[in-house]
Amino acid sequence: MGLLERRAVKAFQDGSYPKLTNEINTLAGYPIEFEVNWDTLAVEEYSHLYEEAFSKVYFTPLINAIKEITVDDMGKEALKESLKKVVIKNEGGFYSAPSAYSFDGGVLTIDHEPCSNIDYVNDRSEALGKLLMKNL
Amino acid sequence: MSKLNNALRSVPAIDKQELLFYIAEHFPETTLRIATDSGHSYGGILLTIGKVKKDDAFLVLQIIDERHQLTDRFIHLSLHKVASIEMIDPADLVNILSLGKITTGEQYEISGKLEVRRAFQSFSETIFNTCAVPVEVPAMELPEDGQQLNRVLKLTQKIQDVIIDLLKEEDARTSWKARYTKIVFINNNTLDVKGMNDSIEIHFAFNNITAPEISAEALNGMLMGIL
Repeated sequence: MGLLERRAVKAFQDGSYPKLTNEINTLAGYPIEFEVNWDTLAVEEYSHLYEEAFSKVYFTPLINAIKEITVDDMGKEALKESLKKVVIKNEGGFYSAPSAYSFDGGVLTIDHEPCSNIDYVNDRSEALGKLLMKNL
Repeated sequence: MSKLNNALRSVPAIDKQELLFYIAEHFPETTLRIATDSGHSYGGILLTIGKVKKDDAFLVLQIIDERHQLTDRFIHLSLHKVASIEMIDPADLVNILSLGKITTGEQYEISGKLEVRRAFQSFSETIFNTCAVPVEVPAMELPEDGQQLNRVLKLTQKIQDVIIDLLKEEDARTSWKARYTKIVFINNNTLDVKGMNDSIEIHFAFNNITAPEISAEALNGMLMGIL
């Protein structure tokens, strides 16, 4: 990771990341553990996109899916019982919603290229919502 | 294929007469190739089958040509002459061979418990909003398997439809309101409906994804019986 990438990641870690995770935890009503593999997210030559891309690719779809699930107490309870941790990484080279998400043993894994299909937020929100509903 | 093979292993033994009567009634569009004891074979669609005097059964087959098109040729054949029956691309082989006791016709996706719990909530609200009959959210011990949960989800919708249809009648509503406030779904092999204190118990193979789905007519009849 070069200096440009390190600076862009740090800016996101200090700025948007805590706000986004706080929003998710507030919606969920309990603290969800996040594990982010920053090294794999920091792809070269795209540091200028990190702010927008990380949010739209990894966090906004999760916020949308959790909003849908937690519309009632039943959903909040089910989410709390089932979702313990979120892992975010870019290891498998996945860039489409159906391939990006997996859920096992209370851990949601989001494995998506950070700067591909950035604006396909709705597709990812829908795919993630369906996956979570099947596991709650 | 292994799922089909597993299902086929559990079908009971049946004779050719039972098989042909069942096909004629439930799957009349199934293409058959019937071989006789004299070595002839005929491909076609079963038009009729019936018993005549001396308990001898006959069938009428409309013959198909080599392009599988129906022709104007028909054969009238005694069941005693039938040596073998081949079913060509049957719609639901397990259902046919088990005479409807087992089916692979219904495909189940994966559902979660939350989806089922929400459907139960909706069940209660819909019946109240449609019929003004208060019914508590169904009680049930939910399975862990996603396909079984999907079956419970679908059956809940069917049961809801039957109940709403039943409660269109004033006397049914009055009787239900006077006796019952709760409903319980119980996993059991055979369909049964019991009135227990203020609860209606619906016993059914909720968790068995290879069993046929609930019969609306049978359920309606049993519910009428306890009202």
